[in-house]
Amino acid sequence: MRLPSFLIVAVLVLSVPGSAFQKLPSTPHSLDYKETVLPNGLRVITHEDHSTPVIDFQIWYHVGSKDEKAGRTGFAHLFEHLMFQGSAHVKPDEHDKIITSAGGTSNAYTNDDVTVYYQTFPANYLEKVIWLEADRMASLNVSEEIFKREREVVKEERLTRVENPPYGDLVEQLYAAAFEEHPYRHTTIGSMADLNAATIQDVRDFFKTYYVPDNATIVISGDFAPETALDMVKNHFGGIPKSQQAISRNNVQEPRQQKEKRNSRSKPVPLPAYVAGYHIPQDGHPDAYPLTIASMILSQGHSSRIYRSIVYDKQLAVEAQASANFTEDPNLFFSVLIMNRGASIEEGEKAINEELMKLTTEPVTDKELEKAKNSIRSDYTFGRQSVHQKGQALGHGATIHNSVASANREYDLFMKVTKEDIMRVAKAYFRPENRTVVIVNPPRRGN
Amino acid sequence: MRVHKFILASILLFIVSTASAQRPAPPEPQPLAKVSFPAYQTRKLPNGLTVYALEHHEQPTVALRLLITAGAVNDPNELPGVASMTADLLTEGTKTRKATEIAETIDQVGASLSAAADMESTIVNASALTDSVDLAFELMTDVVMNPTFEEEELARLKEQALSGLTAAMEDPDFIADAVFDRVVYGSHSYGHMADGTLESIPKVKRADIVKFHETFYAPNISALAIVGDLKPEEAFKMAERWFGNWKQRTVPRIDVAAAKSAGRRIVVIDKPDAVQTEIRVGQTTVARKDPDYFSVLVSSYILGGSSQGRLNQVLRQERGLTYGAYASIKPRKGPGVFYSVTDTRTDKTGEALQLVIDEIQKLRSQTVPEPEARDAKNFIIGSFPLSIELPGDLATRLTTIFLYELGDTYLETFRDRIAAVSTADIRRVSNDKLTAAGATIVLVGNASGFKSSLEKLGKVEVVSIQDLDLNTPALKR
Repeated sequence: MRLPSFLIVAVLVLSVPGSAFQKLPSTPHSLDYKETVLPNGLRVITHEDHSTPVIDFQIWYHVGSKDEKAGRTGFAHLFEHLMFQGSAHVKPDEHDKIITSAGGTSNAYTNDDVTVYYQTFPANYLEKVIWLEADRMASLNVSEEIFKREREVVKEERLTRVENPPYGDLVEQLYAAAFEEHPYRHTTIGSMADLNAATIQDVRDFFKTYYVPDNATIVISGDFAPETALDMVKNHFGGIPKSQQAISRNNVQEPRQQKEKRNSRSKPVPLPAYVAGYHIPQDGHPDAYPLTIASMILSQGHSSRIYRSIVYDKQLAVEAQASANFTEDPNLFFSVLIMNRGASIEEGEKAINEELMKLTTEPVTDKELEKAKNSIRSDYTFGRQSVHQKGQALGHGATIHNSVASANREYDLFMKVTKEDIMRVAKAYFRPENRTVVIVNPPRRGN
Repeated sequence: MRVHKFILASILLFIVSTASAQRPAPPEPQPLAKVSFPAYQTRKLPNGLTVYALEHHEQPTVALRLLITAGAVNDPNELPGVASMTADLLTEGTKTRKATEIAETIDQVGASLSAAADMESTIVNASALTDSVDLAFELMTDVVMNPTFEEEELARLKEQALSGLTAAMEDPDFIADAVFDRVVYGSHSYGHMADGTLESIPKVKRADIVKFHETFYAPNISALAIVGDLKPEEAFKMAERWFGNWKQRTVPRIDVAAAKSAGRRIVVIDKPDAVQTEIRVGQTTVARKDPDYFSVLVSSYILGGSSQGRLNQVLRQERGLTYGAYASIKPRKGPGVFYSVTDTRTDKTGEALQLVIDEIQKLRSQTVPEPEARDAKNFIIGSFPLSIELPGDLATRLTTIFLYELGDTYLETFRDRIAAVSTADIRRVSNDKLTAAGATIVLVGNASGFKSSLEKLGKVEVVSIQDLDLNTPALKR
């Protein structure tokens, strides 16, 4: 279906005088990799790419904010900060210093499901990086003083990201309202009260429970010989023992939402804002692929439905988006609006809901479906150019889908999505009773 | 006590695992082969357009980047925002395509096309899979040469820009940057708001936009970089075919050398609901092309070019006052800006600001220890291969050479020139070009929570966020 009309475009272009060559539609290269599991359970994935003498090394720990215990929201992320604060043979902050002085970058992120440490560096530093990462997996070493100071840094991070920007807490409000039971009801940054309540004993317990080789995946991408890299990993990580107890997981099921929830408040924001979340299944669920295509048809690019209708034609909003947040457990499909000056939330909500509902009653056009698939094709190419991007794709497949192969296989699942699939998932999830709405309005002026 | 037990536990854990083995010693890195910037070719078309072609086969993609040497600095006085709006409107309609058609055509093949102006340049970017490269050229040339700037599109853009700006004017981070530029450059147009102000945007007329386009969009002040899965000969042929009939013209030049520091001011923008204070400290510095730029760059890295810089070490790593503290250079054809950025909770504002000032002063009064200078230089040199990984990065490097007239050998010699910077050079430029005493200070936060801690620094101007006027260096009407 997609090919013919695509070729028409190509043919038209080729008919312009002077054009001398013809190319077939480019398809994304699939990522080649090798996967090995060491006796202690550590999974190692290598991907060779010799185009630049650079290597990206990532270590994915399968622990995120959804694994935090009650009263300790924000802890997984606070812990991530502490991983930079020293181990048996590495002084506080020395890990970062070594990478930085080589011209590399080193950082980490925590989300609901995973904590990922990564560094991109000149290729000759590979063994040094492996040694550094092994040392902190084997022997985190953080003092009470450093723990307290780093907690202040994380509290500043919360102020910077959530409390000071005008719309910083909108997402936090939405999740708190949309989820009743599942730990996704709190965001990764956590609350000030819980951050204050955390202790060094928590640090110790968390490390012992989750920072074990059988809960980790290493992804090395770039300019190296895979056998040599694997030997280095075995040499430095091989002696770290696997966990002695089962890794505890929060297996909470979110009860099915029965009716629409609405939460409206007044806050000194510059323009009114609206965010709605619809419960959707987890990453890798068969419905995830048509939902992704639906979100692209709705709001990717200036020719998308929501941009065209709400931003361009009706000029109701300065920002209008619909997108899915796919995670290990079921999450939300968002629709978001920041209104134009003078436009009301009511008009905006009506317009964006119309766009979502239209997907439940009318099939998308062939052209729209083809456009979305071309965009996926393009994302798989442009989004997998650097060694870091490649490592992200492989690590995500391994950790979230428990299948490295999914990093390549999902492409075909996107390509197989039909118009009927899109209508089916729209009907299944874009229902008012499945929706949570959070609205902020600036206070009325003049008093 | 706890700490002790914790260390013990981790050691025990280790011993259990590797009964006899000692932990392998930390390995030393092997020497790294010298990395070269990939070979590229340059040609000038008869109409004066400079074309760079660089073949890159990593993926079946092509990146096109057109840089026009005109930007917000060329806005009419009193009418900031014209360059930016001109660029924004390029993709909103041409003689043969409506805005919706442009978006539709580009999205349909999964390509991208965008245009934006900053202070000294206008950039049009397109990227496409190789099967759509002709289309990318066609659309790029159409929007650059044949835009219609329809009234309806202008009205729509103004409304969008005003709403966006209304939101930004409540964001302390945005306000701090805008006020800092305004104050540090005084009345020079480097200090004006590149995206326009709430007052200037409504005044911009279609005629202003058309005039800007007619005056400044010319091949002879522009460069096109073509990077990707395309042979240089093919790339040049396509450049000639699509851009060959773009007419050259004489473009007025403006004197950017006149920009200089407007002198020390301490400005507080009072936002009573803020829980943190945004802090900016800095001053004007050398032009991008100045031979001393390399020394200033190294000194900025030492002060705050990475998480290992002095500011982040002192404010975050030692004291936990902030999520981050950094210094950087905003490069310009004329004098650039050397500035420090951080934020902290309201009650720590005075302490954090003093620490920033002390670190700037220390860079002037004490020679940087050799190992610290070496680490900073190694960081800049070592990060070079990381910064040329993607076609878009390579295209940016090439057009940057053109913009600042850095010369054909720049990329080859960059690392040697960084390596040649001595600790004496760093001390010298810090003394000549940085003065903590002369620095401009901008704070955005809840003034009542920290104002008394600033008194020792000198005269402090407090402007309520409601009265803030970015059209004038006075900041108030």
